[in-house]
Amino acid sequence: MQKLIPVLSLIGGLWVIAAGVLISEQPLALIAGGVISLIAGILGLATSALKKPEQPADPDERPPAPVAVPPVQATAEERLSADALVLTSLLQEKGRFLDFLMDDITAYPDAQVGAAARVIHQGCKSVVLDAFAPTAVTEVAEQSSITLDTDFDKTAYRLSGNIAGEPPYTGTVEHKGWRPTQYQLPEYQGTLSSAEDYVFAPAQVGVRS
Amino acid sequence: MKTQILGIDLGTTNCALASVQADDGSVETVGIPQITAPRTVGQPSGLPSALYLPSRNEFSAGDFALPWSDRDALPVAGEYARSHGPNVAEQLIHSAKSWLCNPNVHPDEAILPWQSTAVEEKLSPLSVSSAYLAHIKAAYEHSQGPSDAVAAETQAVITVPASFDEAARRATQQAAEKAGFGSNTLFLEEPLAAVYAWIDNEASNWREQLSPGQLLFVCDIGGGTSDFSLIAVDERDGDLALERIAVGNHILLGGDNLDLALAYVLRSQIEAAGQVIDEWQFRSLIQAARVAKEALFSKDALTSVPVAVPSRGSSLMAGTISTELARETLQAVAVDGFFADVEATDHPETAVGSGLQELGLPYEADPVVSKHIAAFLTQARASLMANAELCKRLDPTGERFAAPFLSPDGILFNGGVFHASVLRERVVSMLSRWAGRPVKALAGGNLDAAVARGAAVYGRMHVSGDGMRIRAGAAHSMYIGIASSIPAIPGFKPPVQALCLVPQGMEEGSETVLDKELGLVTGRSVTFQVFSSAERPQDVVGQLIPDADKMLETSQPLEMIMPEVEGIVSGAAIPVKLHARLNETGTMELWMQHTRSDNRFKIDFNVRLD
Repeated sequence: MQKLIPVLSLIGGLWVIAAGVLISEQPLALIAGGVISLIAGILGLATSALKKPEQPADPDERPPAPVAVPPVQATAEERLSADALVLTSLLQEKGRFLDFLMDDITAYPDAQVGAAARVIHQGCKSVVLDAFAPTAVTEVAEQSSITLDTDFDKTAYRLSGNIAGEPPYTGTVEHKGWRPTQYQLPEYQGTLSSAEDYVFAPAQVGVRS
Repeated sequence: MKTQILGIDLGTTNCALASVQADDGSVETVGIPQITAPRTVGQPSGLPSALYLPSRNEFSAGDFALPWSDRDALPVAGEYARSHGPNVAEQLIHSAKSWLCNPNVHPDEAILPWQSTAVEEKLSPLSVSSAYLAHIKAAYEHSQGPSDAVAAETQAVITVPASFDEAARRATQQAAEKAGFGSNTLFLEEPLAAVYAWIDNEASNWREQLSPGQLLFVCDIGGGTSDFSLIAVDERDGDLALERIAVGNHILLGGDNLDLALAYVLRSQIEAAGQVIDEWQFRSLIQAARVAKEALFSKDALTSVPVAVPSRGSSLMAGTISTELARETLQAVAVDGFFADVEATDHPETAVGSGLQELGLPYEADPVVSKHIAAFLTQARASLMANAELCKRLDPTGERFAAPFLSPDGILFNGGVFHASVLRERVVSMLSRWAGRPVKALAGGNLDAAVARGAAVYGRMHVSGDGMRIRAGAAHSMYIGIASSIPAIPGFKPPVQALCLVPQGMEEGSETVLDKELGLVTGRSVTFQVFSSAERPQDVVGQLIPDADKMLETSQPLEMIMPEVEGIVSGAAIPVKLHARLNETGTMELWMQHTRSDNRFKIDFNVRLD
């Protein structure tokens, strides 16, 4: 499951870009935000494998830690996630994801960026739907009131503001959140010992007869 | 030992698989693992009916290994064949199923990819169908784990178009055998499968939507073909009974034509704006047109949907071309074009023009689906008129047959194109107008996976013995050719005569005997020619059709050697009587009974392969 998290954060960035182009009146600002989060996602992919689990600075000040997970000792090669690579391939194939990111966005007017965004939106959306069938974490509409019970899911809800005292907490939904309802990625059948073994998208050559 | 029940929709453009759950008997669609990219195996819900024959120097060894095979599984079936294949069109096989019922081509003839000069070894339409079936079988057995697949018995049901003639059904049967399916495998007409799926889906409610004396029109429009059937609702022993009474011709026109037509319109818009797109971009445009169509159909508030076509190169922002699909365009092309509000007397135009034609698939010259529906209902009336008993049962007052076409009371839609409610409404309103009374669309059902699900439902019924079976007599009358005994005239080929063995509507499982004695040549190679017709319900058993090759549909002749009979000189004719049986799979079995002995010769149409 560990490798899932950077994969999903990568998707999150993508959604923000798509939303930026399709919804916002100031698309570039939002896109920029999306790209930053995307890059964060990709960096997450690259570094999560190498990071050691963090130790709490001072155990007394922290809420009771969940059952201690023994640190997984694995080399970067062993953690090379074929799933993350396959997902990126799919996003490129169906939604031209890498083409979009690796292009120099500053050179083009918004109209051109918008046109390209439609390609990305259509293709990447189908990939994400097929792979994860994402759904909102909460059915409660954004800007509406929500009450979180004593045993609320701390993975699914992130709190902000004044969190003094014990739950139940009452607050406003600022963002409805997303979660996958399935995990269905094509499986890579080969063996990968380093990143160079993989190709996201082969170069295409039209052969002359 | 549990019986595993599988329903397989062997489609022209897509195959699907459903299975009956062992615990509660419910029917679920099953994903089919397949190559989605080199060294990558995904599990989409269906298997695109596409086969790619890679050239020797194109890929690395191991690129196409499947979880159940160590070596490359070639040719490549499914998603990757569909997505990569069009880039190397000469190595791609598609629409093989439509070749199965092509009268100019033997199902065993290695002709695919059609007109290709690039592949070393071509495949026959039959072996292509067999390849899809073998893939689905291997995928399912793999998903069950090694022990189960061996231990359990399998009851597979494979669907065929109702319009398939005898030869095409038989070829499908052979394809299944070749793929390793057992002799217990059943075959079911696709529109009937859709009805079984609907009945299963509606549980007990289906009876409330139909009543005795009504006529149900099954309108099944797949990706590449359309298939129509009429089903009569009757009452037997206090319960509703269904009987399939008419099937349509094989129509090579489907939902994909609609997307293609929209893409052509969009391309001309792009060209009018001074931009050009290539063949590769055009294929993305077809996909984009489909998505835009679905968006407009599902959201009434939209007046147009932007469509973007990416460049082939990596510079997406410099090269993306955009246009838009306006609602008026969609209305003009899809609704008023393909589903034009025509009169019942408007029938499809046949192609006129060029005297020379390409010998490819007989795609329909007229794309208006409504006209094909009108022609089907008119032809159904004409052919059912001849069956007095059926007419009386269906139409005691004579009202229904007074019109020049048969108007149904209910419509069951099938196929993804009918996700668009506006298209369903168009067909309903048009048929209501023709009938002069309201015709209603049946509620419920699942437009996409109904055929595979219905096949599994039918398999479950067959195994358990519970459930209402739709009676389905022979859709076509069948004939066997005989040589006339006339003096030989140089330069003159004697006309082929044919004897009717199975009259249209003959019930499955029943047998006919021909009184007439015929001469059967034994001990040397002879050919048998089978004919069929969907338009001659008046023919009875033993009827002689003098000009068979002009009046009837021909299929490829079967060549075989009849075993010698003791005491008869090889090559001499012995007197026999013909017995024909229509088996449960809808194909004909033929015996020849020697009238002077107990010798019985089975003309086994299945032995000709391999």
